[in-house]
Amino acid sequence: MNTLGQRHAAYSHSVLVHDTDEQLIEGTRAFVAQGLESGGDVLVHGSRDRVDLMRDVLGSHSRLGYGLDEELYLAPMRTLFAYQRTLAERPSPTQLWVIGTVPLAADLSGQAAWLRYESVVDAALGAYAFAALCTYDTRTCPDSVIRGALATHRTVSVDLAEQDNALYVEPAVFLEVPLAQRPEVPDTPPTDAITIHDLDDLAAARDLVKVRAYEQSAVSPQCIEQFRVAVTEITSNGLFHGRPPVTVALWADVGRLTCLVEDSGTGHLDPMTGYRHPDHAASLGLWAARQLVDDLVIGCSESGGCSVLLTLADDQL
Amino acid sequence: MKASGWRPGWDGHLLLIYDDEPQRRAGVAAWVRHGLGLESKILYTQPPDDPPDRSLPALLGDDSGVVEAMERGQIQVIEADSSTYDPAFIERLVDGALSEGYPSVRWSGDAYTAWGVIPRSRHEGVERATDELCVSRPFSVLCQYSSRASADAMDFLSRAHGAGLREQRFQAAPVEGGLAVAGELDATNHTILCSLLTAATATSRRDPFVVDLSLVDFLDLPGARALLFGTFDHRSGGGRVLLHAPQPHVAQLIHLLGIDKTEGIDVGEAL
Repeated sequence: MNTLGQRHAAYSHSVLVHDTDEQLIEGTRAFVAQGLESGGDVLVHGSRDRVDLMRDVLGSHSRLGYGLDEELYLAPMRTLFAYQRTLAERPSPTQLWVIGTVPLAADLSGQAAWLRYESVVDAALGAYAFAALCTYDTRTCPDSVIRGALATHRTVSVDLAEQDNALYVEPAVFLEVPLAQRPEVPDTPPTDAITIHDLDDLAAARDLVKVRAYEQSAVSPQCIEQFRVAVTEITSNGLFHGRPPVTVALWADVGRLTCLVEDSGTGHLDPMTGYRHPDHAASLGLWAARQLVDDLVIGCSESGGCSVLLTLADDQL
Repeated sequence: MKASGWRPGWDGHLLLIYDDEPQRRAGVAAWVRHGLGLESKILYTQPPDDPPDRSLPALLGDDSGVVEAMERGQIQVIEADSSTYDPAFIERLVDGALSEGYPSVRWSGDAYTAWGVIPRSRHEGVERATDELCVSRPFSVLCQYSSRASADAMDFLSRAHGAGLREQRFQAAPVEGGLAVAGELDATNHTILCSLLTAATATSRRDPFVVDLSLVDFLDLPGARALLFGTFDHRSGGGRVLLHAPQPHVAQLIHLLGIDKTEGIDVGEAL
């Protein structure tokens, strides 16, 4: 997608599902060769042992780099927007080719978070000359992750060629399937809530987040502060683009903050809003807020307004 | 640089910007109580026909310390007329209070009160003379301006109030080499900040112009945009701006928005 919302001609995001190291090596070798031949920069990433293996096979080249998942893939949204920043700031139109395995999280919740990441890569990075091939090993990945990977890539690599992927589902649809584990409002009463009528009340909402988060959770001050900024932006959006009153409900758990912001407008906000780089300041608040939290889910409130659910867990806890 | 040592205070020639009556009352009350703590003489100008609920006694409530201060003349209400805005009159009253043994003198009033008895152009001259008097005497003045009334005059007002500005959620003051800001910069005050920065950078000869952010607790997108737009003219002319010592979460937003990559802007520690 460029500024008109269209995908860049040199953009692709494919999946390679493999059963053996040989299939992985073959697929990686072909992808890297294609990238280097096109004149692009190529990045191969993965776990330390995978990268060592690939380095032995592929050798070195001035436009070939290697990266470790333990440095590049720490948290889904951080990784996504780090790629976006890299692509947005590249001085030349040279294509960036990236191949590797999205790390397998320790639990189903973490795996779902990375699947949600895969699902929105097109929305966040589609405007750039970017080719990605995500590799998934059936020997190490649970069946649910393989199914999720196939549901989140428009094209699939088969016999070293890209094909349309019949199993692909659009991100908004994917978010609703059980595999995605869409973040939900906790089933307990909120820690606190406030109703906002105008801009003068904004400070009260962020003060509430600060006070309750410090009182009720062990989330770090840095996380609390960035969560406050995100909640402020979303609440402000609700006032400007939705309609007051806007309700802000906070759940402060030991290691996690959840906030539901609901306005009284007419809804209809595209759930993918805020992933694209805001070249022309459009959706700047949502774009910034997405980078400050783990998940930001746009939906409709029971009253027909727009609802935005924000979650942030402190990964140090 | 002095910027990093600056703390928001209630002394000197201060500009109080208020959106509504509760904000005005809270600011004036804090300023008066600070003066009582310093055992200062406190003068307060109000119109003769001020509604009782806007008057200083009503504003300060029935605090026994305040009541006693009024009874012994430490707090004195001056009824506004054109003569009370004569700089010579002000100087005479200040010197008189100092000669009575008060260690310092404080004065406050709302700009609307002044504009009721003298033209705005003359009031600007009074503001300039007051600023000089605050430097030459142990004299502090709190000038109350509604945000609506000050919006078009922020350039002049920020230059005329050497001790800076107090607003409900943020404070700012000129410091050596730039402007120090404290508090919360958000959608409610970004236009004031933008005007302040535009005025401050226009009159500063320092390059880089330093915006001390070390005491900023909260910054949102409108506040961040104000840092950009308020320094635009300075940067367009080839000048540089140093955003000094933002707290980590403030620095994170500045980085995320790419402000640190903007031409003419650096983020870091001033030497």
